[in-house]
Amino acid sequence: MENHEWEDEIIEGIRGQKRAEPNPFLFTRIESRLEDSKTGSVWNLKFKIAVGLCALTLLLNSVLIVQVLSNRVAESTIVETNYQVDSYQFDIY
Amino acid sequence: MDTNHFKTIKLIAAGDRVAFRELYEAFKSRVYNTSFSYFQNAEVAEEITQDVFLEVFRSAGSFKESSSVSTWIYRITVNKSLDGLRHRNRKKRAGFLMSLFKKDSGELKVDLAHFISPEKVLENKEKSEFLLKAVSDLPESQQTAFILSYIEDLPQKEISVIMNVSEKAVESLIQRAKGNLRKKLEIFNPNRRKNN
Repeated sequence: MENHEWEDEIIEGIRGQKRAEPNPFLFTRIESRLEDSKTGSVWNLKFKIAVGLCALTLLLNSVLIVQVLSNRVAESTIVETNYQVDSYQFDIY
Repeated sequence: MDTNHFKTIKLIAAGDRVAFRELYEAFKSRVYNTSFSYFQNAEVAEEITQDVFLEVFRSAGSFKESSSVSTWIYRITVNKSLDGLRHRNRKKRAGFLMSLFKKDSGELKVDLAHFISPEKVLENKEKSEFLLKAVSDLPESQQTAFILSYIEDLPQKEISVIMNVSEKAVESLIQRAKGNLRKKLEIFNPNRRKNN
């Protein structure tokens, strides 16, 4: 069996070493990141509302356009039909 | 002690910044030291520490008292550190691919075997630095088990909860990690070199 005393001494030497401490200003950085993410989420919400309103406006406009166009088609059909009826009646006399 | 931390977590979930600061002060060195052991880089360790505490603040509401606060924070730390390592390895791989196309990438490549010359007898500080470098070359699970056991001095039971494996598996991971570390350290053993 191989003797690993030297290697084991190094490995065991890592136990119980003093912990490294972070920068004393780290908490301030964490707090500012928390604030940023809050502001970010408010902007996210505002952005979502704006996109939603735009989509709704577009949808309403398209519905309106479709309605206007279909009304015009219906009106022109009525005019054409009346003209044909008039012509037909005129032919009788 | 943990009952106090449970109360602190509840306060944090309600948005209490004073409680958050209290928890930060209680765990900052454990979180920072663990992440530093993975990266051996103060800047990256601070980034990971920030991510861990942000996660603690955001998910305090979903904390379940089935585990201790310490175990929960260690688990977040290990996960964030491993994510960071994977991200760094992906970048390294991409860098390596790029270097195949570029003749001189200008990147300094550090090979563990040449990090400290075998001709030099290792000083105490160098020993720990070299050991940590060797630890970072271990597979993820062995690395985590070794760091939590040897550097953070946690009992195997707690490590098994953090890593979500059995205590036997933790024991085996630590043994394998030690075996691999011995192999890496062997080349610097002055007695062995004299014999050869």
